[in-house]
Amino acid sequence: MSSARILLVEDNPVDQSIVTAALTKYQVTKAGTVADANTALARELFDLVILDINLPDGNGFEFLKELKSLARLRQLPIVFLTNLSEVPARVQGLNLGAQDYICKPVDPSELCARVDARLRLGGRAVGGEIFLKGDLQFNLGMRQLFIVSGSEPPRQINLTTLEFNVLFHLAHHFDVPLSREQLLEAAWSQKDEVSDRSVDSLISGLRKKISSSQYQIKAVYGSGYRLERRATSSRPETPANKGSQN
Amino acid sequence: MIDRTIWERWSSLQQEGEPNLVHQLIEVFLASSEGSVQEIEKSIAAKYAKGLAFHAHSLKSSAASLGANQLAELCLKLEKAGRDNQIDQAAESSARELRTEYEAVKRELVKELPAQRG
Repeated sequence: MSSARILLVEDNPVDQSIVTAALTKYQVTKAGTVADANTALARELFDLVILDINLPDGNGFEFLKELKSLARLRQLPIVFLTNLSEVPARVQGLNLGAQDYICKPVDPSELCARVDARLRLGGRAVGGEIFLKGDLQFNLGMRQLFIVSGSEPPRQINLTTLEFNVLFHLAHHFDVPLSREQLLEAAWSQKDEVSDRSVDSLISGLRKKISSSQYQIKAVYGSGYRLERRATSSRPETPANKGSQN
Repeated sequence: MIDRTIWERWSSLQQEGEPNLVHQLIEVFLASSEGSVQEIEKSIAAKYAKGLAFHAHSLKSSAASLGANQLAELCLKLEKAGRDNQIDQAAESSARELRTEYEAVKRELVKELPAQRG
């Protein structure tokens, strides 16, 4: 099973069952209402949301607007799955920022292919291999990080598994502040044994290790940490980036 | 009444040793659809247009997913009546047709299931 997490916001039990059966390779969390979806999004991080439009307590278009207005969730890919098949509805959904629009009745193999494609475009390697964020190249299978700069050969950065997990999580949610709790949740299997200070200490080490990258980890007051693009002038000159523009 | 060709789409999802997916989907439909039909009938009786549109839309989706296309079409008619706030004699007649079609679909689907245990 892939580690990608999908939130399915769908109230129809038949369609819920079909989608769940089609996407067994992913971890699918079901929500039958907008309220349930909000609860799930507050509790967990997801890689993609599959969203119906007519829901018992709300409208998928409005819900998408709400999600896009939240910095934490702005980049979360949304795929509409609906039986509103008319062109104006499709156009509206895509114009609002949905990554795809799939009409019911759904063909399971098509749904699976489209979800695979969306997750790949979002940066996740569905097959579990390579994830690229700018000059940061994550080899997910080997849990290795490389910094790739111009024509230079990729340079491996030695990271512990925990450091790799935290950095990958930050890269996967690029520019979005993640709380210490979210990082603990994502990186530590035994999170009872660690504290917020463990996160701070790990981040401090990570900052040094990726100091030659285009990206840096920034503390966000009251929120946690985010990975962001480093201002060109503040990037320390190294043999790897000397003379490059970024 | 039921276009079973749509069920072929699910054959690739069937895993060996796992419960039959078509049977599971039929059971999910049977467990949830009666409630939707009743809500449609109640909405018609109470002239509650919003409720009619919502429940007809919901049943339409389930019916279409299972290939019960005539049932889905009747749902669409009622959904439109609800959206247009037109719960008139035509809508009442469509609701009666819907009940008849639903019962027929249900009988067909039950036949697909293995004989009741016990």
